[in-house]
Amino acid sequence: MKSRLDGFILIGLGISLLLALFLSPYASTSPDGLEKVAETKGFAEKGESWKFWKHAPLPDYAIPWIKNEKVSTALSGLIGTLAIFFIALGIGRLIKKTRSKKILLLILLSYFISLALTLTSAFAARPRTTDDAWTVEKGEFELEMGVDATRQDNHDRVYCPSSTLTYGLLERMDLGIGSGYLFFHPKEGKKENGFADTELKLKYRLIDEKDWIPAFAITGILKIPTAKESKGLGSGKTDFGINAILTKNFGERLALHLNLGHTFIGEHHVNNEWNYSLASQFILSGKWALVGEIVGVNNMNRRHGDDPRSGLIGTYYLITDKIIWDAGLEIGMNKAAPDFRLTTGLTLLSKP
Amino acid sequence: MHIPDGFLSHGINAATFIISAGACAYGVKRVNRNFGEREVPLMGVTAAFIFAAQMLNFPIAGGTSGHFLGAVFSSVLLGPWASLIIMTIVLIVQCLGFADGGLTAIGSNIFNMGIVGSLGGYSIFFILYTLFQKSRKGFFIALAISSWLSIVMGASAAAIELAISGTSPLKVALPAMAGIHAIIGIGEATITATAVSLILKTRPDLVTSYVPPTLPSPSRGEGEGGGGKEVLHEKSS
Repeated sequence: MKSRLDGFILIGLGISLLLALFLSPYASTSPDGLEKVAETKGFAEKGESWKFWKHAPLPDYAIPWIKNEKVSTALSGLIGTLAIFFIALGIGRLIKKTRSKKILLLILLSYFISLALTLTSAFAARPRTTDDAWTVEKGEFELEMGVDATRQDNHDRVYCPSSTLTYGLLERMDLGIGSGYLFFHPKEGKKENGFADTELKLKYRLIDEKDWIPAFAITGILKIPTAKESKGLGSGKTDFGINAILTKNFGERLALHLNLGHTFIGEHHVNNEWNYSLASQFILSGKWALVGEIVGVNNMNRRHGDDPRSGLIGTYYLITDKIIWDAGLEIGMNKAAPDFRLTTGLTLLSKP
Repeated sequence: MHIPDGFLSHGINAATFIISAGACAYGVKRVNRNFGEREVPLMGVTAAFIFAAQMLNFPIAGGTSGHFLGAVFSSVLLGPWASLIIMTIVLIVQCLGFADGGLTAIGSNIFNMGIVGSLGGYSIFFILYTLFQKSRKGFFIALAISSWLSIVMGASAAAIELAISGTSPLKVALPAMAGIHAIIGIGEATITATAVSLILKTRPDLVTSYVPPTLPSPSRGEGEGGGGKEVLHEKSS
């Protein structure tokens, strides 16, 4: 039953997103009932004289900097629908929860509300897992939104809509926060759903790219256990990781990114992990690019069977200079890695 | 039907805000008591659907458009109090995020669409459904009439607020608002009946109000509907 409810939720959300994306641009632009009455009965100007709240990021269901009206309406509808889903879900949970959990949920909720209120943009890093040494410009935002579908080696499936908001704190430093919502469908047993862990990431670029010297950045990543341990969605413990990143451009079209990181796992009796990855991105034309990467984790217990390794191929496309669409397919190279993971998403930039 | 800033007097804004805030506080209590784990994601998806559907303005006569409200729709699925919370969330996000409806008029908008639309609309649905002796046909007739009325009553409430605020005299505003929304309400009734019948076909257990127990009041209806759901749950699993 629970499982079938998950299906219904996904289908319902899917239908809502499709309505917002594909039908809203074609909705009637005529005045609605109240506006019409205000016009014909001569009190319309009363509503135009002043506005108490002037900071709506998407006034009249449009993204101000997108010229194409239809694209603008469709995307604002998409953002609004997704935001409402998370906000209503969060408030629903909040109403159910005990006091301590309420505080945590309030923080998460204010994050999603800030998403709804702040037009954001994402790391143009999607669909890569490998990080790059580039940071978001000072005072600018990036919002990444995506949906993942993962099949584990034992045929358990996980679906996860997620989003990450990154803000450029300094010229060379940015801060990101990201979380998602997990739908866990095991091949056998009870299906579960709930918030994923939340990740806070601070990135600082120490060295800019110059001549043959690659750009070098380090990140600190804090995993806050917002996922429920009792449901098997997370470890319930806080992890901390540091990551060293090298990025080098080769000509106009090719860039390589190399990561080496270490994660201190909070869970008892679990080894800390080393992670490594190498990614390349190649610009095909002005708007299309190809992405490839190899990602691995090693927990240094001398058994290689439990160290996941996987490869990803993907693409991204610049819809406008501020909106990037991406898709990727990750394929596990051993038993510890997922069979495959499909991902697609949007990156929105407050400035290209 | 989203009232912008400037249409209503501050007295009306304050009065409706207090009523709406009180109703929401009580609604939270009711939802807390009646909600289980499964209702929470359902609330999220219902709110998302209502938001998306409210963007889809359909043209009606005379260069005017209308859109779905979803007050009766969400009441029938999750109960009137959860529906009030959903409408409140949608209205606040529309106001703050999309400049749809004024922030000073938020209390009035919640009153018109949440209290009159959800609580009022569901009460009418419930009375009619009971009068029709809880038949399947009666369910849809009650659904159509109550969702049509939820729009007309909400618009009438808006007209009364406009009149009290001195924006437009009642004898002008009321017939104009009720008249135009009587047409928009047909759209509301059609969409509500279609959407609910689709859900009834695929997941009858999610339409809380359809399970036909004895429902002396809308509030008890939620609880007893929940009981009926559990029975269905056991059968299906």
